Parts: sequence; structure tokens; C-alpha cells
Amino acid sequence: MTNTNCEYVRELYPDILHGRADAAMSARVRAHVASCDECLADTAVLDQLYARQIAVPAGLEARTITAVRNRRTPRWYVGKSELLMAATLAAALIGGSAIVQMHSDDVKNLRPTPAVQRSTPSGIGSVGVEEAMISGKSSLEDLSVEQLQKLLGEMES
Amino acid sequence: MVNIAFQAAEDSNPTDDAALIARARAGDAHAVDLLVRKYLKDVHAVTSHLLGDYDLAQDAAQDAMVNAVNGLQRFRGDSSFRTWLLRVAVNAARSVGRRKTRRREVSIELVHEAAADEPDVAMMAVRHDEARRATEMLKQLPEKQRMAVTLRTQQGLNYQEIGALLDCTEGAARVNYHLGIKRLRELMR
Repeated sequence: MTNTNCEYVRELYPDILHGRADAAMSARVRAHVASCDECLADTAVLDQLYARQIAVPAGLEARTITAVRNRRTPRWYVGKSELLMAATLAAALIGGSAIVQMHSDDVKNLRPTPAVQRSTPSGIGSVGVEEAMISGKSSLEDLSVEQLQKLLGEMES
Repeated sequence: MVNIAFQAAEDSNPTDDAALIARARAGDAHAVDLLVRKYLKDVHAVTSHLLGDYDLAQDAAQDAMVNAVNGLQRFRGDSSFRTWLLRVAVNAARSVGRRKTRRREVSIELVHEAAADEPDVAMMAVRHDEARRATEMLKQLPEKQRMAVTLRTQQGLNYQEIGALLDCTEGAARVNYHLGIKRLRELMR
């Protein structure tokens, strides 16, 4: 082999180390290396590097698998379970808002009509007080100061 | 001399990879785990050689795996999955290297994968020391030379793959490899 071939030996030797060269080629290269000091020195370095493999530190595999499993899912990666969860959440929101709306309507229906409220100040006697107490703040707010003082007096007596 | 016959283009079985990738894309967690287990060693080796730091190399390897799984849809099969994954590892290592806020000088834990039929314990120890010395010398090379040498000798990548990983041409990868070997020999004299 020539000096040019020495370059090829250096270039191709890693394929021999990784078992990728055929037997005939491997034999030719090794025969050349045995008779060439330059190639012997080069391949010695390559042998040493090949022999040194970096070990995966203890625990890295487990940590990596955990990290991969807990990774933030990118937009494209929406599985069936994610779709099901989203659909359930949407159904819950829509259903919940409908229930709240119905409840709100019911509360409105339970409130006394303005006609009843307006009747309270005029009949502030025994019936008027009870109506005011039941109907709540909005009715009491309609009372004047004098009517409120009268109401308090009746409650104390 | 040039017409060398290759027994296999890749260490990994591309058929196995294709099936695993398809399953992983479909959301099969077990397939994802298998991909991580299969390639973590290669990914970690690349991040270790690029960063030269025990902790940062682990962070980068982990990031690379997460990024790769997240980006599986972007893998088009133009290269082997292993090459694509190592490219992701290079990017992750550079990203971690840029944002590193700490750097502890802890030597990378190495193991000597000696041949099982090593005849002599003393000879094995000598070779172990020589190999460790070669690895130490390797750290003194410029990044592209160091990566070209390690990707070629330890990962078995070809020059086209190395060029793709290192953002350079196939020819530049070849030159960096030869210069790296030459420099290593000088350092080891």
C-alpha cells in the first residue's frame, strides 16, 4: 500500500472496529497495518478511543424516561385521552352554566313583584313589617327614616 | 481500496426503528421508553464529548430525548433515526452549554469495554491506562476535530453524517477527523 492508502486505512479503520467492513478488506487492512509504522500508530490511537466508551450515569435512564413521560405535550400530540378530557370539561362548563342560568331565573321568580313592595310602606303596621322582613333589603331600603324608626319601635315593644 | 464493502449501514435496525417510531407517534408510551433506552447511551456520549461536563452532559442528554420525542413528527426519514437523534443531541448540548450557570469540573465517568478474551490482567491495565490517556488528550482538540474523531471512532458515523451533525461539509468532516487523529498522535508522544 502507498501513503495514499495509509490515509484510507486511517479513514476506514473505524468501520473495521464497528464490524462494518467485510472480512477480506479487514484482512488486507490489518496486513498493511502490521507492516506500516505510521498506520500502526494511527490505529493504536483509534483502538484506544474505540475501547473507551462513556457509560450512562446511574439513574440517568430512569430520570430521562420520567422526563419524557412528563414532558409538555406539543400541539400535534393530542391523544384520545386528551380529547376525551377536553370534551368532558367542555360539557361540564356548558351544563354548569345552564344550571346556573336556570337557578338565577328561579330566584327572580321567587322575588316579590314591585306591586307588593310598593304596598309595604303604606301598610307599615303588623302585616307591613312582616312583608318587609321577608322581602329583605330592597324593601327596607324603600322605607323612609320615620318608617324605619317606627318599625324598630314596634320590634322593641 | 476505496471499494470497501459494508455489512450494514447502521448499527441500529432501521426496520425496528421505523416500527418503534410509528408506535411512539401513535402515543405508545412503551415504544417511547424503548427508543429512550436504545439510544440514550449514544446521545449521552455525544453531549459528554461536546460539553466535557458530567452534570451538563446529563441535562443535555435528557433535554435531547424530550425534544426528540416531542419532535418525532418532524422526523422525515431523510437520514437514519440515530443520525437525526444525534443531531438533536448536538443542538441540546449547545443550548445547555449556552445557558449553563454552573460548571463543576468532575471528570466524566468512563468504562473500559475490554474484550472478553483479554489474556492478561496486567496487559489489560496497561491498555486501560492508554485508553484513558487518549481520551484525556482528546479533550485538548478543537471542538470540530474532537467531535469528528469521536463520532467516527466511537459512534461509527460516516463523514456525511458527521458533516450533517457538525454543520459542515462531508469533506470538512473528513479533514477534521484526519487533523484530529494527527494531533492526538502528537499529543500522545
